[in-house]
Amino acid sequence: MERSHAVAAEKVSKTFILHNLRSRIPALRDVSFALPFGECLAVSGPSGAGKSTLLRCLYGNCLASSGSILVSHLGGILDVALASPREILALRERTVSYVSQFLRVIPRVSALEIVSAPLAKSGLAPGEAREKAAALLARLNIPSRLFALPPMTFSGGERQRVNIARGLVREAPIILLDEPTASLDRANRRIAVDLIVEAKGRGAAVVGIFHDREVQEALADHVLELPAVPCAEG
Amino acid sequence: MTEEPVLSAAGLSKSYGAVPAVRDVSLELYPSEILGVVGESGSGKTTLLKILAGHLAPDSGEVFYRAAEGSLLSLHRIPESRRRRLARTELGFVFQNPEDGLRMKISAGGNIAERPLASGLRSFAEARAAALRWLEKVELPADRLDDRPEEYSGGMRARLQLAKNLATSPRAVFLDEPTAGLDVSVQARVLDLIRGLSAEFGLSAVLVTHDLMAARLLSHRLLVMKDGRAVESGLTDQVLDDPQEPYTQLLVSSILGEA
Repeated sequence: MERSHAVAAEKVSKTFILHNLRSRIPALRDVSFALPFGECLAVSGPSGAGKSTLLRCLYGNCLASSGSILVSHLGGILDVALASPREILALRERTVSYVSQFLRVIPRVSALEIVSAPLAKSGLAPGEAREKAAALLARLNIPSRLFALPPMTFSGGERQRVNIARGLVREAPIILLDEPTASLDRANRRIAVDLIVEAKGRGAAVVGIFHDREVQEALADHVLELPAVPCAEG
Repeated sequence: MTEEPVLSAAGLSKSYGAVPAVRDVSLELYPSEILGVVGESGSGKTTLLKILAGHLAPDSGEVFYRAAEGSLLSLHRIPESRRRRLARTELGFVFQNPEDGLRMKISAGGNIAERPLASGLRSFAEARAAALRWLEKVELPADRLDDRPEEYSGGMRARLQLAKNLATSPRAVFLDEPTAGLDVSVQARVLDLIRGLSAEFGLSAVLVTHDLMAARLLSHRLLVMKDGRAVESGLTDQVLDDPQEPYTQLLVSSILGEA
């Protein structure tokens, strides 16, 4: 992997083996790409092509069946495909941030706490973390009266904006986005795009799935087209 | 990572008569880490937890605990008196039935103050103040301080038991189904409390649960048990979202709704 690269995937394959159904479901075959810092790779392809699976492999949520996923981490290189659970935890804490399609949190935790948690974890003073989190939530048009409430009570769009805020607040070197703007209206989509552009501007590498064409065109420097996956093997 | 585990176990086995309950389980628990242990009832989760906490001696294998003063202790080889002192100070154990972890006929305040007093606190006024603080932390009304746990509801007892265990700022707690039998709203409260304490005070915990959602939200790593063996372990969301073993796949696909 070159020094300027944030992520380099080499021949990543993933087959889900469902023991109880006696089936093997191929999801990714020999996917390779290399992405420099400050640039965005859009992962594209038909539904079921393995776009989310690829993102999940990069995040260590899914175990690659073969291949390597090299990530620039704390001045060294970590192969996510071989990393131990604790290495992955450190990777997520320090290097890789992930905005999923859905927000999954402990029921009673407030929006402000959810967004400031990654900052507090990285050592920022609690007051400062909350201030920064509040500013970002406000920028994403979350009314301040909602800050103290748990997002379980929010609308889908509000919840997704909390999710985006949580993923972007920490200025991670590598950001993974799984349809981050899917449930946002036009104005908020615009704001989310601006935030991601700013993240790129400060050097973040972004790998994203964008179902919205406009969003993809505004953000992507490269497009990785995944082919439709071959049928399930018996 | 260079960080040392608070607790590590190697080759733990335990049988009840001819029935093996825990078979060759090894694990490590790191500072401020929550390790979830999931599996069906009868899979050996509680037996494992008792061995890890020093409550039950294994037939074979060893549990090492890194004490606050720095020495590495073989938990089942140190003198009984030392083990008991640890159990009252640095370690905590939250029983599935709060009645097992509380003195039902002593006031709530007395229950909470017992551990701080045992670990050297001399002043009853201070102990009472500490008890009140903890009552507030677990969201029990201050005016119930002098009531006995037998007058408490199940959910209140569960929170009182947590307060009692946490009052000495233990380094590791062992939680046996801490949310079982609680109302959903109380469950969330208890989960939130444990998460907060771990993040804030660097508390480590082993969480035994059959609630995969609770395990997902709270634990960093997960150990899946079946018939006394650890059949799979790894990062919590990876084990739940991309389980490798047939049994884990069955367990994850058997739950209603999404965990």
